[in-house]
Amino acid sequence: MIIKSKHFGNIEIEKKEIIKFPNGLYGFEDLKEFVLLGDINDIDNPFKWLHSINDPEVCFVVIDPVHIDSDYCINIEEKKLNMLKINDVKKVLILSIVVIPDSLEQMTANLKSPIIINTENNYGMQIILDNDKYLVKQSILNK
Amino acid sequence: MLVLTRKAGESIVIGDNIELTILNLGKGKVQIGIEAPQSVNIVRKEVIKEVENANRESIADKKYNFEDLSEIMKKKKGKA
Repeated sequence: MIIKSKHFGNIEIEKKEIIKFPNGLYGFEDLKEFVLLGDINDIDNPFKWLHSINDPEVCFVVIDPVHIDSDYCINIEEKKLNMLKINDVKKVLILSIVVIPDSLEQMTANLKSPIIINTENNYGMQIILDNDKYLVKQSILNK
Repeated sequence: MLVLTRKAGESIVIGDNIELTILNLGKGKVQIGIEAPQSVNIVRKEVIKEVENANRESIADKKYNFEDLSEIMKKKKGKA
């Protein structure tokens, strides 16, 4: 299928690549489907795009938070992730949304409310961690 | 909005399994105890607003290419 993107024009994706977010993302509760663009295994470039299926203008830059903080570790009540139906923790992907201001050097990543994706069934959600260990705007260069 | 008046030590029950108890009344502050199932997410509203704003800001208007971004990460690795 083809999805429309303001940044990338028309993108061809496979239906099975669609990640479902039953609750949407904070501030984007109406957008329930996204696709991850970019090579997730490319170590040289840890950034990916999380693109809305339905809104051509909504596209987030995301990164695996371990690239920012190698000790990144989160503890979530299993029941809060019920929606994702996780069987195998190894199949869970954790991503942080990146904010890129005019100066790239000042970009930040949201370590406090990561996106959790179960790659087995492609269900995802954004959670807010209930501790003060991590920041919503963690500087990427100064961590 | 439903408005109820409570004294310290009194509670409010919401639905079958959420209970809010007023623990302490201080100067301009109130301490609330919450009992709820683990599946219920409890978050301070200002944190939700902060996350919503960060998400909205993250939608870049410009097109950044991956090379620019990965250069930044190389600098970071160089520093580490």
